[in-house]
Amino acid sequence: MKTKRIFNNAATYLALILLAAAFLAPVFIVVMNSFKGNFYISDEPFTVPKGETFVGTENYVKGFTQSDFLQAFINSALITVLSVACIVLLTAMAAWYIVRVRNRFTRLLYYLFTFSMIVPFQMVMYTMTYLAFELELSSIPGIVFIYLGFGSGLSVFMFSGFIKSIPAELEEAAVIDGCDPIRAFFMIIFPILRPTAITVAILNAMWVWNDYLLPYLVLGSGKKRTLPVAVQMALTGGYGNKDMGALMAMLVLAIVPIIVFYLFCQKYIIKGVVAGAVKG
Amino acid sequence: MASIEFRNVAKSFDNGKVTVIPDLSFAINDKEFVVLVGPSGCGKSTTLRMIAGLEEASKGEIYIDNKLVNGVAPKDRDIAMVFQSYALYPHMTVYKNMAFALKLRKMPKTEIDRKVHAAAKMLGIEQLLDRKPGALSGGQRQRVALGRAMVRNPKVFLLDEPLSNLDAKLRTEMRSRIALLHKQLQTTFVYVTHDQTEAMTMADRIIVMDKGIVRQYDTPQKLYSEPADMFVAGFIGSPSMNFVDCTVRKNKGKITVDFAGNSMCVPEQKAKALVPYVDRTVVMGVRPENISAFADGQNECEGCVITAETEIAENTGGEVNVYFNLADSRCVACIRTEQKVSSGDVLKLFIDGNAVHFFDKETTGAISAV
Repeated sequence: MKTKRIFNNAATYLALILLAAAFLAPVFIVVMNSFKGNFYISDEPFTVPKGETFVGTENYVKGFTQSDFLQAFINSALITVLSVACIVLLTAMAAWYIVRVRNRFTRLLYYLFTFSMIVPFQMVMYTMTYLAFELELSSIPGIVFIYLGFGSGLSVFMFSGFIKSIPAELEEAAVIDGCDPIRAFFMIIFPILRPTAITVAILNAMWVWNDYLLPYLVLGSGKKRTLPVAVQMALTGGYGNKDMGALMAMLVLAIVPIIVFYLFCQKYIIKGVVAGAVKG
Repeated sequence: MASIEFRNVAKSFDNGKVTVIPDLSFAINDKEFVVLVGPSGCGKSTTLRMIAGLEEASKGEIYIDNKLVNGVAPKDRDIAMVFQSYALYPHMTVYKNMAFALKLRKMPKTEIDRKVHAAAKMLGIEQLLDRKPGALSGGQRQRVALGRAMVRNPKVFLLDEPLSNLDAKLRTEMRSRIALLHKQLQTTFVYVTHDQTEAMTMADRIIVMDKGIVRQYDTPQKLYSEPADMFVAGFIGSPSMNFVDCTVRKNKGKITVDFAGNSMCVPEQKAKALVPYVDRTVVMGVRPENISAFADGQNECEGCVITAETEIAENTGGEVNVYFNLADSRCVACIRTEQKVSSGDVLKLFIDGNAVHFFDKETTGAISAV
């Protein structure tokens, strides 16, 4: 019995290690190659940089100085922060309204939100881009607005599920204590929603930060371009040649913020703040 | 400290499709402890929520402290409410939970601190002030919920089944604590429960509700000894009152009731009221505690001796609940006996004629001499 359990545990761990390795390998290869010279990246992509293949921070300096990296970074950061803030705040409020005010209109609203989750982006991207141009949304505030629309389906769905588990008595207690609905939301409901809000924030931040297609279509590759577009456009030489070393370095710089954000937030996802609110 | 009055209040939901309360009128005096009791869905919680302002009355007028409060926001009614699920804010410490309402009212910090500590001391939760609700037991959460209501020093305390989530022992303890709190605070308490024991032990007066109407509003003792109808009679008391159909007869100027081959002489005081019912069927109500094991030499004239075959016997320690059939009705008797009673045992039981109640079979109202 004990041997079987040890074997099962070992098998589970092995499977998880292999899975982790499969996910981490591309990141590791990119980091490794960002310290190699251009020739060695294509010649020996899977070796560790050392001796003559190791070029130090040269690729990073090149990537940072010879492309419009900083501007793209600021654009991406601004779009991500604003979009995520809008999505978290507004969809939490929308979900609260949908769950607490139960009528035909809110039910329809809920179905529309959930339906929007299953519509693939590629299906609407041309019409949407056209509309964005028509409405003069080809700007950073404009794309934040579009992201709010695209991100709201999943976010409303997630918030609604959580709000259903919050007893309405909490809000009633707040109302008796002297809160108006807005205060009740911000002082009682929103703090309780924190675990879901952080999950929603992480999912949307990863998506917005890494998104290529929407910013490329709406903002183009000019001054308003975001980081993924900038990485793709940068350091292109004659005949489509690319400085692969600098490209790798830019990729590393581009993924660092989102990894840091994820690591910082992940402990909050696990916390169940609502425990103990009611008899459990 | 305030009186509460309901004048012809009605409450319906779904645009009038579902009427929960058709027409409700009652008055609660200042500093009184009134319990709203009734089965699930009888409208007692809705009534409490209308006092709180969480539900608006569809019709009628509600007065708190002689002021019309229809349309007044809950926060402006000067009431505090303790919920069944406690409704403590999970992200705040006990201290912050208790201080929340005072903070919203922009009370000075020192005053808040003094009030919170005074309430916490009174409830014995001072050592819990830094904890969050998740780290508290059910009883502790209940006391925090009471404390949160107390600090505000409200005119009216509303309690919505506050003990129903606690275990039996804790419930008994909290029951006396709430009763004591009422004495100390000298405030009007309105308490909702479906547990008649809670109602009987705590209330100054009880409102028994059924299907949105008040069946009887009186002191616990009156409800027990003079129930207005079969509903109240059956609801108050545990185990419930036994109901047996019987026929009223007049023999040689004396009123008797016949049931299942037995004839019981009705005491003079009750007999007067039964005169209009001679040769008609009425319902006799007997509380289980008014049926005892018949002892030889007992005065048979003051009641009726029946023979019953025990269906089930429940030993509760001091007493035995004996279930038996009488005139097609399932009855129960709480008897004090040293003897072991088992299923199938045939017992001689004595119904105390002075303690029986009679009800009109059609209207279910109590038959009493006016």
